[in-house]
Amino acid sequence: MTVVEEVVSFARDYINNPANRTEERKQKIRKALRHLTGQFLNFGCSTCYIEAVFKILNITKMASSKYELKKGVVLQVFGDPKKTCTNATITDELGDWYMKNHPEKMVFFVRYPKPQRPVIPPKVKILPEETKVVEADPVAEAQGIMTEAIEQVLEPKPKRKPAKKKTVKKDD
Amino acid sequence: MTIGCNQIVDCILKNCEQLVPGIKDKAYFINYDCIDKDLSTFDPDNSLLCTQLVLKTFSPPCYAYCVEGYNFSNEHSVALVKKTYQKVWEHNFIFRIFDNTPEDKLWIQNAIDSRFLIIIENNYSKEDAVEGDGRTVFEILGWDFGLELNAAERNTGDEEMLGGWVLTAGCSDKLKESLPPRSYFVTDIATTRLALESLLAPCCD
Repeated sequence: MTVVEEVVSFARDYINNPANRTEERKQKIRKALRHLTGQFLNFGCSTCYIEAVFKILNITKMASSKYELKKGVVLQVFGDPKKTCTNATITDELGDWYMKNHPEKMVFFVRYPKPQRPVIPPKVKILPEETKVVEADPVAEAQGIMTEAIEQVLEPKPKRKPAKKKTVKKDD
Repeated sequence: MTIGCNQIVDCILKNCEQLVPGIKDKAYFINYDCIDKDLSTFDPDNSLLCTQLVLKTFSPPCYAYCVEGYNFSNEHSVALVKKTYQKVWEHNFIFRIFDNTPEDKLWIQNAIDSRFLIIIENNYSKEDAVEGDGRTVFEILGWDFGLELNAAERNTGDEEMLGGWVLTAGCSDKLKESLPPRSYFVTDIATTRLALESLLAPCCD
């Protein structure tokens, strides 16, 4: 959790309960304000802290849209300037439109709702699944022939039958 | 067969428009590590024209931080540096801070320990009906390696600065930029300003 998120989480409690305005929280408010606006707080001014909390809440409130673009990104479509937007101007409708019609631009989004179904761009057709015909793989075939040949070459010789005992003929 | 790797393929014709020197007082500093080079795009026909500059999504968040001078106090220069075999570019940016608060000194110390890109805004905005007006306005310095702070000076007896800071950002001693500063232009000047606005830190307001 970042310092800003921490301040947002305890903002209500900080404003309502003077007892909970600890030095630790004040330090976090100072850090968050410095981080977001570059401003410095007067250490001794207690109302300044409350004003700072409201300022932080106002800045972070902007992130309530479903979509958030990366900084510097301008989404635009050729021939339709109404579709041009940055993170400051994107609306949920525009975001939905881009998601539906230009899913390839999702790389420029930091945050977007997860689609329930896979998004298929227009002009893209999904063909019905065909029965796969298993074709002979020439490489595998060649390998098979090789192994067969090797086996033939290295074929183990049949075991010799135990030699019969020589019978010595007695000369009569 | 050519000796080099490139050839001249176009003409430069007379420019009847009046050039305007200098840059605006506001410059924008972006930490080098924040640049998303994968998503940033350049014109396919001209690698010196950046058509989209995207920042990474980090925590703490990446921003373009403003540094504002006063009365044309910012200066920029660029120069070709000839090495034995290759030619590279030196990007320079001189800026002045007319103050001496602990925050200013902390900013300077942080800048000394970092590398950054600088976006400058030229006073010269060329009108071009074909390619679009204002393609000469914004430039990005230090795209390849980022710039660093090479000099920082404060002289309390200086009659011009009155005890303010004079800072010089530029390339490393050895590693220079491969190309001149990139122009930054997204479709038209209004869209470019919109894109730049989306990069700015809240403290820029």
